[in-house]
Amino acid sequence: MSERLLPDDEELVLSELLNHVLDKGVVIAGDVMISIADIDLVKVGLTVVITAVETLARRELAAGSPDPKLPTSEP
Amino acid sequence: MPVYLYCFVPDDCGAPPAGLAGVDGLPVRAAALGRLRAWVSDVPGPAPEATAERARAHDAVVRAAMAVETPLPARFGQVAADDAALAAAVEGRAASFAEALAHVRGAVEMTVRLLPGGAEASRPPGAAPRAVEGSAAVRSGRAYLERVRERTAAEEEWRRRAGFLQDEVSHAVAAIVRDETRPALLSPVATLAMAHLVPRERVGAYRAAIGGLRERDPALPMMLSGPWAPYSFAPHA
Repeated sequence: MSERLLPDDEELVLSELLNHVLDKGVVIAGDVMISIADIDLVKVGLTVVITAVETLARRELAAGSPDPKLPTSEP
Repeated sequence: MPVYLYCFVPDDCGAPPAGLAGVDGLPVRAAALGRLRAWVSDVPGPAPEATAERARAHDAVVRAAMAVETPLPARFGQVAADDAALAAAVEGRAASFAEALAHVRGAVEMTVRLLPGGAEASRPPGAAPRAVEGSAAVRSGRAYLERVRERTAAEEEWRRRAGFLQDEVSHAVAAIVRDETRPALLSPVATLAMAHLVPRERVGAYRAAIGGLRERDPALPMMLSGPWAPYSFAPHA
């Protein structure tokens, strides 16, 4: 079984999604306690973001300017 | 019946599109809350636990609203007893929400994630402290002070680096964005995120500005994502 050394785009995108949806946004009453059910969420941590930054930056440079059309189909 | 809250929407958004599926595949409807309007789902029980699938579903509903006009997204996982309870919860903040909706109108959020390095990168984890001379007690005291000094210096270095990175990004896009959020540089963390509120027609210019920063310095440790709904521009009061 080959070891995956870098997270794939889907993990990165999920990490950013969670940063927005779980940590930001309007809170309507007091503190919102969010309980995390899915064990896989715990694995998507900072390491995922850190290790992939260089890869993404290189890829974006190689690909040129991304399409600015909105809204996008990802994440 | 309990209601799950996705976002507050301007009048333009009207009702959600037919067949839009929310958290756990539940249908989405509009709820009239006095001066405000929200998109919600009727849910069987208490707040759902966060899963990747539910987080995506929450954001998908918010994006469906954004396809018409920019909404004010709610944080994941908020359930009120019923429409009346939801209305009561937001009544005192209606003016603030209306103002926020006007502020984000016609715009989207772009996020820049920064990796300043510094405090945790200055010394590998588990590295032994520098050798100190003297008796055991003196060595122990000096070693402690040395560690404190090193940590303080490393944290200052991190703050300097983080501040520099934020300023670089901020200057690059200042003429393009409507608003910006910056995290407070309290104690060193591995990543920081800045968010920008960008008029939709300027997203291309925004990407070009960030691209220009990268061209000047390809090693600049940052990651761009978006467009998002304006989660980072929710009012706090």
